[in-house]
Amino acid sequence: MTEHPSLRNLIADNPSVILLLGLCPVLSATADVRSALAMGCITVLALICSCLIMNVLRKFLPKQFEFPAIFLVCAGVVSIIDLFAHALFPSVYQMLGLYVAALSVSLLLYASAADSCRMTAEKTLGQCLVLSLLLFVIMLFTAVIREVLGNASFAGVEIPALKDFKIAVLSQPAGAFFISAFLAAALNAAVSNSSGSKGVAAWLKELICPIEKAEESVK
Amino acid sequence: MEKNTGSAQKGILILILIVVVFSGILCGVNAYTAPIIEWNDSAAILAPLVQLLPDAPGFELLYDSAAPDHSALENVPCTVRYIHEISDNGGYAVQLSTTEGFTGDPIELSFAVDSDGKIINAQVDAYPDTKDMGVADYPLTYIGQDSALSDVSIVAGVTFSSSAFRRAVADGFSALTENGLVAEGYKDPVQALTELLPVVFSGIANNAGIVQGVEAQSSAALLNTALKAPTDTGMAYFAGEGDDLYLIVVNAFGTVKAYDTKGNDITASAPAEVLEQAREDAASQAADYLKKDTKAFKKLTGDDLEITALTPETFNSVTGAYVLNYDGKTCYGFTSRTYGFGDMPIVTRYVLDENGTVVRMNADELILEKEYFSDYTLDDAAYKEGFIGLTEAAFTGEEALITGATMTSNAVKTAVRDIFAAFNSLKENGGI
Repeated sequence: MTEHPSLRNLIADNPSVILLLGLCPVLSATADVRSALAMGCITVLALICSCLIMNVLRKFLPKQFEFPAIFLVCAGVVSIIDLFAHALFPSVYQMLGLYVAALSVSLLLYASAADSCRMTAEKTLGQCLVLSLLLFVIMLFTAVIREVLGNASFAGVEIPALKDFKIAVLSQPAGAFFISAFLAAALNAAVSNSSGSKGVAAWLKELICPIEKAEESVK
Repeated sequence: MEKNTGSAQKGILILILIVVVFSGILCGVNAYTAPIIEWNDSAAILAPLVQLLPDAPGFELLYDSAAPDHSALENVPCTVRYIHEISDNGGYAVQLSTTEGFTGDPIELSFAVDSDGKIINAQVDAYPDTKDMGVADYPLTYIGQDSALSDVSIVAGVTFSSSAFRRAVADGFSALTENGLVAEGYKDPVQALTELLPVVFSGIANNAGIVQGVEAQSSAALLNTALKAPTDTGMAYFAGEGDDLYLIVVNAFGTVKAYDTKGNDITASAPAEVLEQAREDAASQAADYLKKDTKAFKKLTGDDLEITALTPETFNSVTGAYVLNYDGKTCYGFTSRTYGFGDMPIVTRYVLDENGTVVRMNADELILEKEYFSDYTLDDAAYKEGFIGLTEAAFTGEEALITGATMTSNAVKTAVRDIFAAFNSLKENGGI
């Protein structure tokens, strides 16, 4: 992700759909709109908490210890949220199962936390909120498509008119992959030609470039 | 260098601090949430019981199938998941899960008994089968019943699932009576013997354990009731009177056994003339399949076949056992008649070598209602080839599987197990 995020860049370089980071919540919890909402809220909370904590710690942490700290902080934050979700929202927790704990290995959290080490607190919060909103929208969109077309229901309420037109594969895990892939392709095609935006290939090059730049500076 | 060392030490210290802080927070959060989580989990277990007995003051766990060693109860059947004592009541609530229904997916149910051992409520908690046995109403027919379950009937058309439900309730009662929690209900001799019949004579019952025997006219004066197996696997009779009623079973080969209401083998002590009457009556009602079987085995072995009848002492689906001499070899042929789709007979035949290995297999007809089965896959020749080389030790049941035809597959599975049992019986008794 860029050092100077703008709304346009965040959409164009969106980690979930363009960069394909943090797909775990999108793929695992979007069979049902209710579980998507729950997972979205949990992911947002984990994202904001871990980014803010890393933003505070950046002042004290040497650069080479950033990643271990990110792993510890993300895992700790997700574990705390997992326990609270299990205790206070048992029915929701039952819907999500192990996928809450699986957030602790989400690349989205790591990438956002890593970015927050290079930004001010205000920018960190701003980026987190925008990312969260985008993630929420993507998860809801995927969940609505999967549940309405795949299960002929919405938030657990049956839609009788669609009962005979179910596309069964959409309610299966493969359906989540299909929709994510279409969404990624559509957004990537939409933004790749806009000025100031980059697309997947350019982002990958930028990811590799810092390594090349470091090698050059050593030479 | 010093700067680097200092920086590394600082980094390590901060990492340790992060670990300590988060560990402390997690301990605190765990201390707060653990009791809530435990209560939620208990509530999940108790939710069906609360629905079953909304006015119950509380429930105390006596048995959990996930931790049977923590319970003082013994000999608890595997279908029992939880047993709770109802607080201030002296009654018990039992939650069960059985996979003996039609689809094989778990049917979950619960029932509660009072201190006299009579059912005060029963319900189905999960029902995966497509045919409804009356999920709301059928359990209510159990109210007032004790462990004998005398007045409970099976739902016609949904026999597998309703009999699975009944057997599960019987298992629940077994756990309660075996551990002295409730008194055993009185089971009249006829009911006791009827329930014993499929246990001692599997050939007269289908794969769900439901007796298929139909009442037949009997010429024997000393016999009360005669039941004839529609598959001609033998006869069953009730003899004696009142509490001395006992069961006589005769297999297709004329072997006779007698059992009392407790399931004890009383053949040696039963009146000889009664047993003889049963044998003669069964012989008079038996079908003669020798010609048909000879013709069928010739198709498997060739026309140059010498066939001699044998008499295994098994009480299962085997209706024919023969020594087959052909091509200079001696093999053993078995005919089995089991209950397939709609409890219709499925006839299968097997040729075994002297070691008990299947060398040939054939069936009269496997898919009995072709218009019902639209999704089955069956290559007849390949299916039958799959049994060649099979031994009792190697048989897993998978060889009998026909995708989309569960009842036929189960019928063939039963047939294979029965013919191996008949072969072993002949080996033990000197017939082979």
